[in-house]
Amino acid sequence: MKNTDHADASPRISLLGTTGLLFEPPGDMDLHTQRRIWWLARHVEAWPCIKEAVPGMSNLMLIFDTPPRNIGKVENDLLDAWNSAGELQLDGRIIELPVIYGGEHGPHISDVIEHTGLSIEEIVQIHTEPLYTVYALGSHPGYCYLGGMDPRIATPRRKVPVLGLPGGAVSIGGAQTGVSASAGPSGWNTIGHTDMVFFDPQRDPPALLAPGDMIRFHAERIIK
Amino acid sequence: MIEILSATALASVQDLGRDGYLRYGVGTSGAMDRVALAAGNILLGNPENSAAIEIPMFPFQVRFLEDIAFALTGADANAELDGQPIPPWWTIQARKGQELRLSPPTHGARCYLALAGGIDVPVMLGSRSTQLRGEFGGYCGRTLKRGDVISAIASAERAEAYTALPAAGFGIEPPEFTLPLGDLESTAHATRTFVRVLPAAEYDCYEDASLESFWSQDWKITSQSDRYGYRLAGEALVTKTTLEQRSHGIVPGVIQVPHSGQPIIQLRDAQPSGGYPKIGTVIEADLWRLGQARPGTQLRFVQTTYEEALSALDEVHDYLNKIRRLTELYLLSKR
Amino acid sequence: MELNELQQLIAKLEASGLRSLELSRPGERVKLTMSDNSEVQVVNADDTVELFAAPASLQAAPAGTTVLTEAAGLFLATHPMRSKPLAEVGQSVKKNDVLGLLKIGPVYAPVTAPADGVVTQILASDGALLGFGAPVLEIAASA
Repeated sequence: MKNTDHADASPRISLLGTTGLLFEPPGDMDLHTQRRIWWLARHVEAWPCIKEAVPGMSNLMLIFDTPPRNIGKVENDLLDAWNSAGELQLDGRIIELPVIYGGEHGPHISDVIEHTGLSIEEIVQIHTEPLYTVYALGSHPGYCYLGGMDPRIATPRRKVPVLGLPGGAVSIGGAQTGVSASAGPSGWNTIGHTDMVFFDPQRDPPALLAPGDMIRFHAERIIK
Repeated sequence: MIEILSATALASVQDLGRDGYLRYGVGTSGAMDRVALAAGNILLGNPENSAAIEIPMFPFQVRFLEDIAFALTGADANAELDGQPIPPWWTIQARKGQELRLSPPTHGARCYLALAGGIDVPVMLGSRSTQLRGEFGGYCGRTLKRGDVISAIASAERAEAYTALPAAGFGIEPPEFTLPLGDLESTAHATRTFVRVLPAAEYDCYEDASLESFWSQDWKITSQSDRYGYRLAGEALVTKTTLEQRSHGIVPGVIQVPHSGQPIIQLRDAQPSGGYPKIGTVIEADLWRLGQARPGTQLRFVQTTYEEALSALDEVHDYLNKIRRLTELYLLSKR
Repeated sequence: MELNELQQLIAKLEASGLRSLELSRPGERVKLTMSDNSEVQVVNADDTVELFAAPASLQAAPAGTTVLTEAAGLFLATHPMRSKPLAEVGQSVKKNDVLGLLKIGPVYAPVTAPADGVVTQILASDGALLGFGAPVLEIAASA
């Protein structure tokens, strides 16, 4: 089993029990890396021992169909595939999301203010500035992990996860930002709220957004 | 068809789980004790993946609206069918109008009620399991309520196969006696559950003393433990440096450690991704043991290897194969 | 017994990993034994399963009925998940109540009350290996 530090040049591969494995290449969390992750996901999905390849934020989880007896071979094949991986270009749509920042539905913006030392206006300005790319879906049905957040507003995840967060919560967790698609628990800092239906199990595919789509947040209101 | 007579919340329709939709953020759901679910189906001659009712709160009561065979597996809920005691891990024919009553179990956390033919709810994204967070699958995407009427899938084989069922029914050996783990005293009294764990990505990032206590201490399963995950309490685990992971996929069994140092084991309704450091993963072969571990009891982690974890998975499959073959043989002899 | 039924039984026996299977019904009796070499061998009782249909004589429970096994297996007076025996002396029972278990491989076959009554005597000891027709307990029919 390869288990090296991020500082090393080689990717880290770790087991998730006998259910799957996690592949974490070194380097920045940027669109170039993410496009190689998308390429790798599409490539390894065809392997007979793989049930599903699930992109994360510059990493990839593989779920085994049946757990391979020779795990070392799978790890080597994966490294070989990564070394030959190109960038998969996904042509996405652009979606505008109106957000109410702060107030009742942005209860943790004070923690972001405290951590960053920025004012609420500055935080909103920095958060609405970029065109975010959907890097991956995860967390709960229809939830999108977005790439491209300005590191100036990065805020650590909460010490204790919050249990009953409503759907449409716009939040910051570490160097990432995202929007929850339905009510549930979260360890991220909620800074605002949007109305949008991100998931419908009757639809195919069931999620509104896919990797490669883009989101722009637009400040509808700021509540201090 | 059966009618739910209890107001108790939290019972849900589950099969073995939903595969292949993690990339849309859809977690696996499915039975917390998949061995009990599969065994209940085997007792009835159903496919192992048929849907059944997972019952975590007691008392729980249903009325049969037709003649139908059912099976009870998982925790022993001292079941009574119109007052007649039904042993645990048992199948028997119910008559129209009879009532089944399940009482709070002495040990174990969840009881499974399976019906001959399997529970008939629509297959949503490849599974009949309830996706509580997404509010779809199972029975109307929610837990069961008093007055809900649940049908079984009608099948010609169902009626024929169970003409051979003895009037008193029959049972099978529960897996804890075929696949024992840990010290027998604790197992017998269900005060401490042992589960095997494979180290995960951030295992080496913990202080030596924390790793030592991870394996040696009794972790208390707190009351904040449910289908989403079990929150544990014990001596806090400390990393050598502050860790902040990028969001990545996780699976049921992953033991995450938030900044508080108190681990959380992600379970069937857990979100399929996360960013907290992962110290280990409870192996798939032992997840059913967790599904029966109750809040307030102790949990002990036993270090294992990938090869041992595969063998453990084989043992679970062997157990299920054996009960299927012997159940068929027994019924054949009763014809 | 039809040939195809026999073939089905043989296939099940092979798949089950058991050594032998004995099946009797009114008018017929079949014993199948797997042999892996030509020598006569002592069959471990644990690996042997004998399954029998219920004899017709056990339908009613006159006063002082002895309940007999309907199969061979390991007698369990108490379900392993429980601490209380399934039947105790003095206990009132109803027809078809489960009064004990016969463990046949992983199958728990019921030892059942043939009629309503009261348990007067337990004859088989917990954990004993019982053959077909062995006495398990005695029931006095209720008036």
